[in-house]
Amino acid sequence: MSINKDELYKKLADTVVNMEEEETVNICNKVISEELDAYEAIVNGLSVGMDQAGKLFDEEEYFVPELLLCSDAMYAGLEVLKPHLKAKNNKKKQKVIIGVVEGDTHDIGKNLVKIMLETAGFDIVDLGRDVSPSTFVEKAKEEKAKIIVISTLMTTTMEGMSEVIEILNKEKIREDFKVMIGGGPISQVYADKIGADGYSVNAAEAVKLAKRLVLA
Amino acid sequence: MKIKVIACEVMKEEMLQVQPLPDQEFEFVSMDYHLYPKKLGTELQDIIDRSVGYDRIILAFGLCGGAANGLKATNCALTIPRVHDCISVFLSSEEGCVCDFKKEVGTFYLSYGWMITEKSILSDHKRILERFGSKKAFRVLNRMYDGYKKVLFICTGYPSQDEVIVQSKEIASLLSCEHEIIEGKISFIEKIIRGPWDDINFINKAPLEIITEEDFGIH
Repeated sequence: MSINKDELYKKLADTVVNMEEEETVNICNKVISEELDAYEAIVNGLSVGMDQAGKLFDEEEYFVPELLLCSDAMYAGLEVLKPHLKAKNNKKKQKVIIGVVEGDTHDIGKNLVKIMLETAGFDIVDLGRDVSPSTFVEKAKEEKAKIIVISTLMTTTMEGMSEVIEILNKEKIREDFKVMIGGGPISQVYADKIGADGYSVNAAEAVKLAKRLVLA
Repeated sequence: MKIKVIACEVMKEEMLQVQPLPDQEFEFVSMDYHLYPKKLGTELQDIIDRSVGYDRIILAFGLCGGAANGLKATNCALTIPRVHDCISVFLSSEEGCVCDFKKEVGTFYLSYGWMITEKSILSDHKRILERFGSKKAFRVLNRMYDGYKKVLFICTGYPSQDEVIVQSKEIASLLSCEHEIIEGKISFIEKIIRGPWDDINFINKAPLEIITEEDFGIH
């Protein structure tokens, strides 16, 4: 009897939401042994699970520790599936530079966006936290990134974001990159004011925004 | 002059030590909003809108993650300290200087009021420990807080703070941080309640004028 793919992917998503790392790995092994498509399992299983976890977080059902445990399960599954991705799924990934602005060490939000973008197929260069505006620009040039993603949780460090854009303007390379910003105090109004290409309210929206920006 | 003070629960105990002005009312807002500045903004606007019959509303808040951005009162004056958050309030002198956060990157601030929500670090840890064991619990906490080097407990002395200081030490040890106690001041809290609300330390808005993040120096 052939295995019901959709059911298996749903189960896989559930293990991520339920933080059952071992079970996630077991199901991913099954995906491989049943010769199912690894890419499909990522998109319809792991990624869906992370999305659901993100929703539970927004609804205040889950807190940050739960979200991190879900991402542990997701990453464990990803490790199993990655070597089996077929060449057609390995088209050149879009590169993203991500980091938290100088003066701020709050990186949970940044890490969640990083996880979601990674699951969605972007190639991430993580600069970590407390990153100076000039480092964002230098790294983006060096890595030939498409998108620069900047995060901050504190109002005292927000202006670091506009400094990144000012440097890009000064070096006349603003058009070479899309700039996305986010974090607790950030709003669309602020993004418009400093001339960023976009703002997103959470990690799931950040993925949608990133996809829109690289298509634009 | 009839005044309403809308204050964050974080400074409730300290506020209760200050002699209020005649004809002054207080409403305290739950600290649970701290993690959700946009929800806090909505809550504050709701409270302002249903507070009628006052000459002035004082918000005992800072910009608080952007929560104060966009607030306005329709029929009375609106006053808010020109600070980013309550850490500046607790550590300010009477003149109300804003702290130099750049020097304190990696400091986790706690105070009596802060423990209302930050005790959650202890319960978060317990929850993960029970289900996943100590190794995992340590790793998760480490990922959440490894930017911090120091837990700084701001002690204002109101009320007796021995128990929360013990808890703050537990947090420091869980996060592998050093622990320090600093004396906090309530002189700025007194000024928030009793004035004078000078334009250097406070943002003063006429009816229908909107508080913006620019008022706090963000450009």
